[in-house]
Amino acid sequence: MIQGIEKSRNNCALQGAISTVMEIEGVVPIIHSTAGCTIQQTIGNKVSRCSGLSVSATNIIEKQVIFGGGSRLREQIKNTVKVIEGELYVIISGCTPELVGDDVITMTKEAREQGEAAVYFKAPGFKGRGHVGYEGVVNAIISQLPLVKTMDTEKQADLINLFGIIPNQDIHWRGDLVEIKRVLEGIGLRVNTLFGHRQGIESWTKISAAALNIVFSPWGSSIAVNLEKEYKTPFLTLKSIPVGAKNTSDFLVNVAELVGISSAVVERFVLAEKLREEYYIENLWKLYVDYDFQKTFGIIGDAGTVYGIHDFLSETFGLIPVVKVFTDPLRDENEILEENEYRTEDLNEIQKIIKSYSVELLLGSSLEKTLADELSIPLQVISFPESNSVILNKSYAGFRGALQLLEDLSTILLNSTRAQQLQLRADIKSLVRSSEK
Amino acid sequence: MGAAFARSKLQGREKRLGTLSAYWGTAHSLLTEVKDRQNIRTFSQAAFDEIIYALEVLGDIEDSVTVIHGPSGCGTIKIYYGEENAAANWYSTNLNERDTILGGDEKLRETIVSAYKKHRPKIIFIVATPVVAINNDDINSVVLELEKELTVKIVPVFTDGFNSKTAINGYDLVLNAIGKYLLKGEVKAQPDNFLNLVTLSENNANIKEILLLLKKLKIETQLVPRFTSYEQIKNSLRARASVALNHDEGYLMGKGLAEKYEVPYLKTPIPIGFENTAVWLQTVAAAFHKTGKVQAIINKESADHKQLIEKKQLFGLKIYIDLKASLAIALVPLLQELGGEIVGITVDEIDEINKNSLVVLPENLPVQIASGQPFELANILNKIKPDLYIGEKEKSSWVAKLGITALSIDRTAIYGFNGSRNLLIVIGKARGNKKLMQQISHSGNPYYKNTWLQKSTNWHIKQEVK
Repeated sequence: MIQGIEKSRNNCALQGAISTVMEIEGVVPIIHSTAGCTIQQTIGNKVSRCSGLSVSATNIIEKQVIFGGGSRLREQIKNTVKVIEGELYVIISGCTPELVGDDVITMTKEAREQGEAAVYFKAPGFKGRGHVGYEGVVNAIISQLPLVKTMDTEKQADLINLFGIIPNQDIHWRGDLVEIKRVLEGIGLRVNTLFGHRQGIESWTKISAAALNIVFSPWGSSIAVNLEKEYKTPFLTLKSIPVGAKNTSDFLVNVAELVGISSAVVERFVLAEKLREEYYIENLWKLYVDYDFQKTFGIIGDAGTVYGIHDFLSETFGLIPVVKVFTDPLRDENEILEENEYRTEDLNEIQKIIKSYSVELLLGSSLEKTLADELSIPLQVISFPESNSVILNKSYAGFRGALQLLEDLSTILLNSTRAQQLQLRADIKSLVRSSEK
Repeated sequence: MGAAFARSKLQGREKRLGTLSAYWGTAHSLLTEVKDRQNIRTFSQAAFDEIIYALEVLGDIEDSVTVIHGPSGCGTIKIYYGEENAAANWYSTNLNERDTILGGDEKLRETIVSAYKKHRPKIIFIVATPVVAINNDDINSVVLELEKELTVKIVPVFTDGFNSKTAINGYDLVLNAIGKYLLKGEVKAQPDNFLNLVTLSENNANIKEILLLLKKLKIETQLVPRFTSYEQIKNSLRARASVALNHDEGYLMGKGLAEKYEVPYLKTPIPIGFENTAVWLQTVAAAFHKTGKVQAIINKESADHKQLIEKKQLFGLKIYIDLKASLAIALVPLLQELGGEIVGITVDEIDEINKNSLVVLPENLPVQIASGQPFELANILNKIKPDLYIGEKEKSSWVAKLGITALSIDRTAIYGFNGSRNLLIVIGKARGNKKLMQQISHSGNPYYKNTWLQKSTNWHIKQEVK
């Protein structure tokens, strides 16, 4: 049975859908729900060119709860297309209209019949987390887009779509997309990142032309399956965003095979990146030994973030993995977790799990700060929420991201060791005879 | 208006105070013509609501835990408040689809028990959400049952999320819940010699400014309900007097304490600008028999003030103000004194208790009532074209994109005697930031359609059919 949660780090389906849609240029969300739902999400998006206050929203009130909010939604859609410039209007409904039984589908259809580019997604928050909202709204847009736009179905052998990296839920999503795009371009491909800088409806109408869809977390596999059915596009599903030379090279070899790029091309690109990683690790080595970087670690976050970082740190950088806690929601009721793997979003449970192991380093979210302080161990933030740093295009993905991770992590380890030494100095002072007596 | 600290469920602010949240016209017609009517918007944008305001305040009650009774998204903003140093821990009852059909009482019970066991708070606040309001989940019986089992005060706050069109209703609901569930005791014949300073939305810089003034007068002060513990909340009924920093927001606390526990509630203007601050301070000082001392402070400040306004540093500047009602209204004379010309204001709500303060405004001053709604503001600013916009952070950063010099006073002390000086500093900085502002507005305004910007501003404001 699902229980109450202490300090939940996961939002709801509606908020995930809103946050996703806002990061596509030219797409205008229309929110059918009570007033606060949107702001609860958007106010926390520290780095964003979009303001939550600009989002078209019905802000339904008591009268519409009692008598139904269908006509309020109709009015809002009609007026939104007159006020806000947009290439696609995405109507997203929350808990209250779902309980009241508002007919969102018919209202959207009406708008479409009047020639407006409108699609819908029903996202009551009680049906799941933002992850579900992301996957759902992307599926909804892709399946309804042909009703309002012309899809480009002529296959382009070098075009790739990326899915499964959830805007804002992945704290490095912008940088991750940039790095993954870079490495794929490195082997001669072109990439539709679909979100972020200069990604608008035009790139979405080309989804159907892609030669391959790549999904970087469990949250996107249904999108790939649907696209295979609809447009016969093959797909590659990864457990996680690749981090470091080993993971990323394997990934590129995999992709090259699927799209028919010769292994020589991949090898050439990968070799240069690999050598660079080795060069920097060699440079770090002195510090590594001096400050004893080889810690046991626990890692906490969405599976799509955790595996990649976990593998890189343990297989390449010599750290000792002890425990993983996945905080994204359960996807498959029959999931069998491996030993020392857990899944929970409850802060109390996370704290209990970590404490039952002997952990010298934590990788998780800013919510783990209290625990790290209590255990007097350093914390490297890798997952949502990141409260104390502002992230523009930083990434821990791919080749370059791995180096960024090493830089950040080494800094944290250096400073925490120094803090420990300072404490030891204080301890020494307290143990010897004071000169003042 | 109804008795303060209502026993039954508190009605929405519209029904209690005739609160208006949508309007566009002159100050004069708002003051004289608009009576007993409700306006709605036929197009609207996302806004703050009563749940968010309630969560904001409750987060600052120190030995409490907030339990948000609803789906997990209803507490998403708590991560943000936590980052901004809110003291209280929080839980979500995490209602799922099954709970929306079969009820979430059991989950509420279990969540409260685990919150209690882990944190041993003095108070557990339950914040209701639309899902539980629609399903009519029985919160009260869980409260009654658990208060017998656990040694903790359990306080339900009945935020529906659709009860009122204004977020400020969330403050009322919190204050009413505090009055109803946490304040118990007899009227004290001999009150203790301290002041209740009621504060809801004030920024920390503003609170500190006022506390420093009170300290100069040696008036002992405790804040309610923010920055307090359960003990301090209980003590509030023993104070010599209460005063609110912003009557619009705090009136229910002041009035409740006066009606039920005979703690005098001092009627004051918001302490913004020299005149208002002086009156505010004199009123408080009188209640504590410190009038002599206060006059000395005012005399000194008066000289400084005269010097400052003589310079007319804002001469020739057309200014638009967009703030909470009492702040915006109080800033009008202040900015005029400094030489500025006020060309329009936006306020979040106007109701029975703040309406009369509109008389200080020039009769023909354009007034918009809106919480958020930047589409309407874009239309207004496109026509009025002010030189300077003063508002809160979210909207100000957006207004800059229209090519208007915009600043936020969210972190500035504008209360008290230093308000004008502080305001001049932030205005000076914003006006000096020309290159970056130009770049920000470089891409123009692609978001709103030109046809909308040309239409009459009140196009989407209609009288509500009852």
